Amino acid sequence: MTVQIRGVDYIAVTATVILGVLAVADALLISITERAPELATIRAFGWPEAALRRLVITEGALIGMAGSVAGAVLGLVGAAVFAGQFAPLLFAAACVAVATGVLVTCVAALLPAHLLRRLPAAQLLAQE
Amino acid sequence: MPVFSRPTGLRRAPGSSRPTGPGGPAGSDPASAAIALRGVSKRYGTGSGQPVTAADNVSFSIEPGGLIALTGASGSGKSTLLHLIGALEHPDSGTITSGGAEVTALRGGALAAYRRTVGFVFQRYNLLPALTALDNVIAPVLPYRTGWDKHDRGRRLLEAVGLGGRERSLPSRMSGGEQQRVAIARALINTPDLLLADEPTGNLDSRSATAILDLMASLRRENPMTVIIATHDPQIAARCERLIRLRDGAVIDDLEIAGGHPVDETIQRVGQLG
Repeated sequence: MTVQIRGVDYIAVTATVILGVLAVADALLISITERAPELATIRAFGWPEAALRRLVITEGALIGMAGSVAGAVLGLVGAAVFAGQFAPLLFAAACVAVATGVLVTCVAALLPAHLLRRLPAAQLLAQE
Repeated sequence: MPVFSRPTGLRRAPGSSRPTGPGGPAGSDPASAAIALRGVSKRYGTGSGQPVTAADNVSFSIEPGGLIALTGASGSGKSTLLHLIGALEHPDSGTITSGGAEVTALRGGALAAYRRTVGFVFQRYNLLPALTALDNVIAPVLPYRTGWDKHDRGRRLLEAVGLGGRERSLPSRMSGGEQQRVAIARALINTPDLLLADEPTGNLDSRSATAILDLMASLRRENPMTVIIATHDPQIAARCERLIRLRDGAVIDDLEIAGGHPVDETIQRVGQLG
């Protein structure tokens, strides 16, 4: 079996990656907003900003890992079903996709992680 | 000059002050004080144009080991002062020092390190809902290596607050009093020099409130630390050694509560202060 990559595939991959970054960043922003009082409490404990950032980026990485693995498995199964056979090259591509997915979500988490610094901890604790 | 005659058990705290000028007198030597505020002000915008003054030129010093009540009506600036002392926000002007170090100048890692010397207890407990009681207690030290076993110390603290055996309970399965006990244990995990409690019994029934106060008094005897409690409850204020009254962000009275007087009488007199 040969694997052909067309120009339109590159466009589709690029669009998917961009959408993935935006979706993960949005999901993490919503998550941070909802848990802002908890994060303010954690900051009041004396967690350094770097530890708080790591918390958000780790969360992004786990989301990326879960989504990428699920997507890769579904992709492999779909390819096998439609092509009627399994190409080893596709497995290698799936591994690359998982690694890229995790990397992309970590990058996407940088924005919400950066915005953590702007959390008005005192006001959030007063409202909690 | 005594504010009340001696039998009431209230008199002006030595070195205390009402602000008398820019910054006002700061009381005792800031270098030896657990906490010293000098001319601290903080204003918030309300969106309607007129800023609200939450701290107005506040100056006072607190000696190490003191038990202080910050009292005043809702909106008088009690919580704001606690947040400023705990370095959760910066004042617009003035300085706060702790053991001679200027807290208001701290940034980054030094700021986080200072916060670790402070224990916070909140009115609504602020436990992390997804974590068990034990994990909540050790949450403040999770990112760090410590020279002691975190889980062991967490278990011992839970036992000290009367929650031995409840390590795996989630906050949602605990009463308000139990959650506040977990919060107190959490505040003590770093063996803080300073404990800040913001209306710690505000959400509790009177029986639980008394139990929490007894617990804090007993823990303070075992672990000498400075305790500042923001409260509008005269019963709590009367159990403290010193009473700092606030109105519209300004200190309007700074009184020492002398021991050896009937508690009911002291509560009554503190209550009359408003």
